[in-house]
Amino acid sequence: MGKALLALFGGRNVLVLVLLVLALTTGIVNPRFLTLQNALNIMLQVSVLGIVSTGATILLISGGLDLSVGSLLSLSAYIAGLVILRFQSLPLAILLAFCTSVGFGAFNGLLAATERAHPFIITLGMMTFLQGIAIAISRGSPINGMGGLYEIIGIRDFLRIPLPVFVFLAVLVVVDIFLRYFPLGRYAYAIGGNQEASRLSGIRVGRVKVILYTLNGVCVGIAAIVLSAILDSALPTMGSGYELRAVAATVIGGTPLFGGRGSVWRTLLGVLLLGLVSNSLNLMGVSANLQNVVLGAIMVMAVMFQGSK
Amino acid sequence: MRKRNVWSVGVMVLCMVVLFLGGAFAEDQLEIAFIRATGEPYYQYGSRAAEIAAKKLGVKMIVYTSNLDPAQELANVQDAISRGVDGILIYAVSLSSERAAVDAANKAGVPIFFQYGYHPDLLPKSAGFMQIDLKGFARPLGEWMAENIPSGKIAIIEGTLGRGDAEAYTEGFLEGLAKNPNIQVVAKVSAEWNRQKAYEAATNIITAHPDIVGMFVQNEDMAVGVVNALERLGKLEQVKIVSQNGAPYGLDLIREGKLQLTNANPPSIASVMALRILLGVIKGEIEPGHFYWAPTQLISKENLNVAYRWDASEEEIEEWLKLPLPEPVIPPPSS
Repeated sequence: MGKALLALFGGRNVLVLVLLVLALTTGIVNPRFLTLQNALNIMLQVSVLGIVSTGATILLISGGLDLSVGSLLSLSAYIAGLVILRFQSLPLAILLAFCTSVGFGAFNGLLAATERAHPFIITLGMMTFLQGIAIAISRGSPINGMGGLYEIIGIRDFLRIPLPVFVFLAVLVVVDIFLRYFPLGRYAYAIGGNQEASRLSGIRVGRVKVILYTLNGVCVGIAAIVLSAILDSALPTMGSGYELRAVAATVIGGTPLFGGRGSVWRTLLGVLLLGLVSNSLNLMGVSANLQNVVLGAIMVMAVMFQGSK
Repeated sequence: MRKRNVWSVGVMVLCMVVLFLGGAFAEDQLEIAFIRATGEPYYQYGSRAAEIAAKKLGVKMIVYTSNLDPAQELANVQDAISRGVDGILIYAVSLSSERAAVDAANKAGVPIFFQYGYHPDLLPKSAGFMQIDLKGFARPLGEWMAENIPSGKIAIIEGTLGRGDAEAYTEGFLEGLAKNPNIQVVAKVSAEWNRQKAYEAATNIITAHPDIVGMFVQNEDMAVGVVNALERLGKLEQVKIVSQNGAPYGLDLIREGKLQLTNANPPSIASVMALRILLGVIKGEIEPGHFYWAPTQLISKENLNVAYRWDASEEEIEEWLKLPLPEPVIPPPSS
């Protein structure tokens, strides 16, 4: 019986089922859940996490990991805010934010490529380092107003759909194409599956890792710009927590922590689950003190079902 | 293919049932969303008092937590609007980043009242703002230390850096302390509002500066850790401690003579007053868009009994509902 249930609902199907049950239950308690506006809210709410998680998916597939993405997001966004504050130049702000995220992404890749320590430890150190820089340069002061970024991306809709949602979907499609059709994308799967075999088959593992971490940096840069646009501000701690939520969304979606498998579409499911749970608990009026209990339980259940596939 | 069709029809039917049932259960009662920054005691007591007050006023209250994440805070605002609340009372996560929340609420026509997160540009678009003057809040504690410690070394245990509040408290405290040039600040350490980290920080500070005579600890949760560390090291008699918040455990420390002075900003009475103003705005009885100072109170051993308690009883909260509302600050602060 148990095996039959797992066969029926194992893997991705269980996520779809959980999403469906959650949606219907919430709809019963509060019918406003089943409105287009709420669906768009959820998509907007998960867009930044989705972009960061897409970068995390690239790394997890290749057996890598980056715990510094939250701090890097904060630092990149804050640098953009500082440039806007000092020079009133939005293009320069975006350029420098990307230079920061891509630069540190590549640096993480270089450190990971040395293979002198697990990326978990390397990027844990980088997380503290980058958060420290963000706090040191900001001296704790948030920046209000992102020089028109709010009007351009943060609050603008196209066909009633918020622009950040399009940015997220574009990132998903581009990364999917990269992973499926580009040699580097295929190398990511190969390295995640068996690093030594990949090396012996002629793949330059170190170089590929640097490129993959750099791509992760690009995703973080995009997320930094989108988040600061949505909030119309930059805070030195605004990315805090994204590193673990991105890994959680990716793993819940079905990309294993040890690499070799996975796709960004699975990650989309994981991200949607997290966003949907949070949204439905809020709409059902579940006590704030209980929300983390429910969220944690659903996450554990989802991961257990993924693992049982 | 047939199975898929059955699924699709089933889902559609369920959705229709859901919509029907949901409509049948619609309520007339006013509903307010209380969005707090975290689940830490300060916000817990604030939401608890507001919930009690709401119940007494016949208002339904839903409590959300933002986990100190501005994006989650905005998501909570959007969810509250989707839920169909009549008003939003929000303990802001940061000292900025509230524009998106205000715009979302304005677009939906839902009044939104802020505790903290003040920005003059947002004031006319909101139901109102209530907060303390962060620097002005810590300044009397610095002045007290300047007057009560003739000379010597002191330390500051700060909260989490990066949100602006801990930095502002330090700045205000140092302004007050400047009245006595014989006092030297030898250490500034962030313990991130955390008791255990404050314990460790105090231990390290005493090891580095055994002759320290004073400490400014930015909240009483951390002050408990500092007092424990100093007691263990036998230095409690030597060090005068001042803190902030007026929490139950802080008042206990004052009662025991381990904490000399605290500046209280009780989340309980502030949240009740904020709720009353928001309800007044919703009912058209109070003009929206005003700034209010949150209630504060300097507390030492001499005036312990007059403190507005964080863990106020239902009877006390009922009394607060009869108190006059705070007067709006006109003109409002410029920043």
